[in-house]
Amino acid sequence: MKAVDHYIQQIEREIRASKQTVKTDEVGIVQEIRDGVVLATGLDHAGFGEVVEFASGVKGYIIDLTEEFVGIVVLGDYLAIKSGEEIKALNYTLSVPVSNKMMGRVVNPLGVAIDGGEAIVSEKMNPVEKVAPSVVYRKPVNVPLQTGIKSIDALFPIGRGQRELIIGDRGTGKTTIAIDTIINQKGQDVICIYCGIGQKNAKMAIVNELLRKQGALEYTVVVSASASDPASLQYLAPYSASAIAEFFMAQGKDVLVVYDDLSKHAWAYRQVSLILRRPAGREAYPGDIFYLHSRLLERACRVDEKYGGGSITALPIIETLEGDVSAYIPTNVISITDGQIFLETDLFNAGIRPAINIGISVSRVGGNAQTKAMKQVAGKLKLELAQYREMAAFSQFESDLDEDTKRLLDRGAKVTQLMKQDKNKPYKLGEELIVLWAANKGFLDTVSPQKVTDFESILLKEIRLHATELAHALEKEKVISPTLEEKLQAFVKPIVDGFVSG
Amino acid sequence: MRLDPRVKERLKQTFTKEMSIHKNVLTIVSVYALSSEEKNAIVLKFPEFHSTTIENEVDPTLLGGFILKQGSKAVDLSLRFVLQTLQKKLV
Repeated sequence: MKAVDHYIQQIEREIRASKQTVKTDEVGIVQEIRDGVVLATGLDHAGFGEVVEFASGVKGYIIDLTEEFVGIVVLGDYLAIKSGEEIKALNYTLSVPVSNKMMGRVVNPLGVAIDGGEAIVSEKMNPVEKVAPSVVYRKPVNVPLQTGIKSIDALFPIGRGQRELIIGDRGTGKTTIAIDTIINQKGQDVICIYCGIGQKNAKMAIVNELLRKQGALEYTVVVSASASDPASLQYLAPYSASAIAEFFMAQGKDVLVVYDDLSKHAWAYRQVSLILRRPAGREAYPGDIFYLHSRLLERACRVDEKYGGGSITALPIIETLEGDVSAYIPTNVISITDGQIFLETDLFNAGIRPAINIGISVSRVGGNAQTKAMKQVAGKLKLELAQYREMAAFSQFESDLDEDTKRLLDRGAKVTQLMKQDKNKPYKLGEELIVLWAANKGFLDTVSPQKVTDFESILLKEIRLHATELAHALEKEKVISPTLEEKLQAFVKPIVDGFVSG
Repeated sequence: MRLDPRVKERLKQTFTKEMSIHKNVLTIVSVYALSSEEKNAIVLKFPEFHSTTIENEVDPTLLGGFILKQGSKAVDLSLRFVLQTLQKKLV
């Protein structure tokens, strides 16, 4: 009984001590509800991007301010909102909670955990929309981001802070390249963010499981707005992912963000825009669809150490239809990014995986980021492959070819074979270097084209068994010195001889 | 239907005038009809709201207290709001 009295006394004391604060609210009334978008009157002093709360507790944010109406995108279940309901402005722009505890978790674009685990408590909020760092804060891209995929690291190197587009039809291995890159960041001190936009929930589950199995989830945040989420959340997802990435970058860390994929993001924004009756342009996209993606990808950057350092590397993904890269959204994103990796169905079906079309893929800034050793071995390969493609097209018409051309064709075919790589098996830099060095030095000449893959797997096994020190030395020195060259020769030659003789 | 531009302009002017009068009205929502002294006492406490026309609406669902409204600005000092806030904090 005494305890109850004690509590009552305490409550009485608190009631007496509490001061009721008078807060003037900005209010409005729901006039119209369209698919995920609410049109309201009132809210005369609310600003663009401000968060509002409906009487039912659902939140939304202001995306349209016209003379008569305020357009509000509903973040959540819009079916619970009724016409005539009161809306209250919350006096802050849309932000996501960010914290280091997000690593290894799956969150929705509002930063709420959706993996069934405990709620993420965070003390900091980052604005979803933020202007990208200006020129003075930036630094040129010159540190490599190893994808662990031979062909990309050799031919289209990606640097930390770069934006490299992965583009291709459905089922050509776009997500696989991105996931392999995330897996390869283990121990590289890179934090990864995988942002799924309009993806199937089943696919998100597969990605999550794969990352966990490979031990990559512990340094990865998965942001998911799946196909069943409202268009408003799908529209927000990449900006939220970017806000989370900026939180880690502010700690001076390198971050990798995968946006999978921006075609669906454009669709979501198109839906919202059409509901708001904004004038439709080409392919019914609104006028600011270019700005939609450019302001997102501009947030990828490498910050100068003077201003805290850190970087955000962006790997946006675009899905094309029938390999049409000249459609509206693909051309937009190609022109925004610093290069693209183009994947083709034909190559994929021919068994060349990753199905990268070497002819039209490029990396515009990554060259400076490539290690010198990689440049030493990759420079010649690139030329050989280019010559091979040209020759292969012409040689189809001619029956007798001179020795030089034959040799070139033979080499090209073998290098093409060598660029094949199984999924979820990224190579370490040292391993890549040894394999490519062998090809560069002509060790493949004695191996038949059908056996290149077998030879490579044996070589790789040998490296992992007997040459880890050599691989480490290559990674460390970053250049193939004459002494290392000798060691490489001594290591590779017996393996080749052994393989050829049987 | 085509409107004469001048008529249209006049209509617009009248509408904005009506709207501004409407926006300027200070509404006090309370549980029971307030006397004019009570109304004046409330208005004096809130210098940021100033209006010549004061209206009184009765809404028993407030349970207690009152709500002040002018245009899109509102101050909710009702018991209902306090209880709703408590409910949100508890759930």
